[in-house]
Amino acid sequence: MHLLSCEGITKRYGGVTAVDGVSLSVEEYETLGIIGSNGAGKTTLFNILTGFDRPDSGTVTLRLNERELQVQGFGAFTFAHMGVGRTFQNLRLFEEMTVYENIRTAILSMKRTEIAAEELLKLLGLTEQAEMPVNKLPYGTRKKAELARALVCTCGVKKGCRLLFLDEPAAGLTTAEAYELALLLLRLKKQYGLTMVLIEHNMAFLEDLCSTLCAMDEGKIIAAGKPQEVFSAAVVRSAIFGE
Amino acid sequence: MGGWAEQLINGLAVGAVYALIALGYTLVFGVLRLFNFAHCDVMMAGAYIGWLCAERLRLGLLPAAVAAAGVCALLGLVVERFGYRPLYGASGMPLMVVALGISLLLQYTAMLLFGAGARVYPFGYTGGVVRIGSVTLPASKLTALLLCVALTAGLELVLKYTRAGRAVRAVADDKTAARLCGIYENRAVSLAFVLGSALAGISGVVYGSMYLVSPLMGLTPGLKAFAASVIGGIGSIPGAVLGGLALGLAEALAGAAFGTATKDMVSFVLLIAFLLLRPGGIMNSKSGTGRV
Amino acid sequence: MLQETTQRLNRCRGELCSPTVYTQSQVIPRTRNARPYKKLWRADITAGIKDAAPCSIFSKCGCAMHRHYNNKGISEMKKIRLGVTKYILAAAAGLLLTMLLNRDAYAAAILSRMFIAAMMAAGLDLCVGLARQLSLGQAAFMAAGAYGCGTVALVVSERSLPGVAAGLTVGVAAASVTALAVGAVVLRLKGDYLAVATLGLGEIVRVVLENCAPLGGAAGLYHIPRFTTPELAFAAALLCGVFGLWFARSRNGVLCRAMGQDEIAAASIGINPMCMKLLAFTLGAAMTGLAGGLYAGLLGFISPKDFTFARSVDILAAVVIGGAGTTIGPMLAAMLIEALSALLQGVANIRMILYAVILIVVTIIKYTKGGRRRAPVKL
Repeated sequence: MHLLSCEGITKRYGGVTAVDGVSLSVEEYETLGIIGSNGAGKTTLFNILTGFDRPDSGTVTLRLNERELQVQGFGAFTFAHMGVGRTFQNLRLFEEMTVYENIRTAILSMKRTEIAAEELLKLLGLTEQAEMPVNKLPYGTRKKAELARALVCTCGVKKGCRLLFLDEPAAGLTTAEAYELALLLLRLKKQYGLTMVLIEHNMAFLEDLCSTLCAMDEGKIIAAGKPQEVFSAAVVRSAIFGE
Repeated sequence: MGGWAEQLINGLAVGAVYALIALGYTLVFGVLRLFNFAHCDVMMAGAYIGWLCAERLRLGLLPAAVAAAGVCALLGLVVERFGYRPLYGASGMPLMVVALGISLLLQYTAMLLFGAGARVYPFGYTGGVVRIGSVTLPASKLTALLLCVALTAGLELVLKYTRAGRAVRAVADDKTAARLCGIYENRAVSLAFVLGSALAGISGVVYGSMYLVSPLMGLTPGLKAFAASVIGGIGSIPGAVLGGLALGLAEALAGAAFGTATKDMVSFVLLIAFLLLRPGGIMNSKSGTGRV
Repeated sequence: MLQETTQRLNRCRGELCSPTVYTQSQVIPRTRNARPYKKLWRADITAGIKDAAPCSIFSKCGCAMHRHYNNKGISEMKKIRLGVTKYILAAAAGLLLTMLLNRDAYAAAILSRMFIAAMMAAGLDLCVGLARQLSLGQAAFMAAGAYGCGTVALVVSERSLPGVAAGLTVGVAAASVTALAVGAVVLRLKGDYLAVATLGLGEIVRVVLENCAPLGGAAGLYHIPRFTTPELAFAAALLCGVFGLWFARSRNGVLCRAMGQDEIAAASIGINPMCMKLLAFTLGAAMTGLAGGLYAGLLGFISPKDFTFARSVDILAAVVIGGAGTTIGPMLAAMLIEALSALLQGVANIRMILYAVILIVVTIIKYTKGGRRRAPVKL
């Protein structure tokens, strides 16, 4: 069963076609990685799938409570209430709040959540920093805080679709931190039954984490499949790895 | 036919004054991202300087304008140095409040010095009329238009081809990058203030010679010029001029078509329409991405 | 196309996504919050931070708290919490002053003006401090309140309590409706552009009033019953202040604050930004409208000249000097500014000059505390 699928998504900015007729589907409990060079349209696709952008054409379908919902054109905030959480490429935290308040605000916004802030803090190892203002924290911790906040939306809704979108979660992290993050994501996935979609440039990280991969170039999907297959595909090697 | 042509020229002349003031708004917004509300009172100061020159010293229009430009440039420099510069690190709102404080300060200083009453430039100060065919045009309006064109061209030349002007443009484009290139950011900001204030001084003389001079005279043309700079595309020099002229024309036409009541409103209606439909203004300036 | 991609994806679903392992009922942890959120918010999170003070959103000083928290550690927080009592003392002093000075008509008028200014500052603070939507058109909402109240008061034309109540209600309603209508259009704009648009709207409202014959045109409305007493103004200001403080701590207030800090992040956690903006904008306008109604009742006559751009600016100055986002700060600042302007009445000819200088100097000093600031280099 597809949890999320999109068909024929096209988005143009002025003369540039950022996403060009992309169709793809995400199964429940799957982890889908999206790779591609800069400007391939990954983030635009991401924004469309999470409601931050409207596609010029194409449909986005979300399965919620055993019903298929056409969700393109919905406001981003409604996605959150359906159980779609996301992080951003350049962190977007409420800079004047503490870690705890960031999470707490998300819980307040979601009204009836099934998850407690303390639990999330413990899970992500943020208990120590809970009362620190986020703008004073190191980058890795800030990323974790943002992840925690996104998890509120993902796991907090009863019968929600438990989708987590991560835009470059390992960017800017050291190898050790990235490894730790991969382990954490796996654990979260097991514990909450998450479905994850992530954009990433760290191939080792993707290999550890993803069950499937999509490669994008110039707004189109050029390859999809198991990580190893995608990595070894000739189109991918030429378009992304520059061989 | 003649009536309409006169209306058009009137509108363009007022528009030229708006354009000159709008240039100052745009210059300062470019470098500081600040709506400098004190700008219109610098213009008022220019009008008084021009009036003093004309009434007491019996100077002609151009010498008076030059004197006003000089004094206002100095005024702009002082305002920038002591009013705004201490606050460059802070956010926009304190700057805005200081701008408004300076605006009040200038208005009421003028009131103290010259009284609240309106002053008039000496009669016939700006020359008689010019006849082109059947159309009679007051020379003052033509002067305003010519001045506007000449000064805009001059400003554009300064900004494009002098070292200091290029520094101003660089700072307007990206402060950090400019600083990394070794540009003295504060000097560029000062220069923008000096240029803008000098233009305001000249426009003050022109506006004053067309209407009256009073301590609160800056408010209305100031707000309208401000609207013009946004309509043209804030941060863009040609935009400010186009916006000013377009606004002057629109006002004249609206005044002629629907009566004077609509005249004051048209600029603000246009302002909001542009903000909502085309926030980049006529020139679609880069900094005009105010839309969500 | 979809099927093609799906087939390719299906061919290679890994072990990680084998659906047999997880079913939703198994994995959802049932840890509902038994306690209401407000209590939980204040509660200690873990043993490690047991003695931490309440989180800053519920603290009395909002953003100021963080600064102190960062520089001086947790112990400093108690001092700030004590600082709040100062505000309460100030409010009590205000009440006392009201009682003491009430006999003098002039002093009574000044006090009423102070409280009216405080209300407007509280209203704008919701908009500027909490939701971070810069409005330069507050005078328009004040005008809506004043004209709404004035018209009703003229019709009722007596100083009875129901009459006054009806007038003020209509005033508040007029301001709120104006704000809703205007906000729905202009709140799509951000930052400076919103400021410009609201400025334009303020001017439009003024010009419309000047040319609106039923509302007296440029001459305005006369002979409005002068019902505003310092006590009434004080009660209204207190109401606005308490409401402002309560709102900032309520669920919607917290969401508003979050939206003000980062609109996109707020949308990503399910906050409707437009909704929050409209809420703060309208509530702020309602308070300003109430102030406008009282203003009409204080002066007895109103004209479009009372609601110029300069008025909007005065309110903004109070908010900035008092510290945006703290509700009490702007209210006190507004009262101080009004008192100052009354005190300077003695030197009428240089009054406004002194006022302007004080405004400039205070703003500069307040925002350059701890040395001159340099813009941080963002790389």
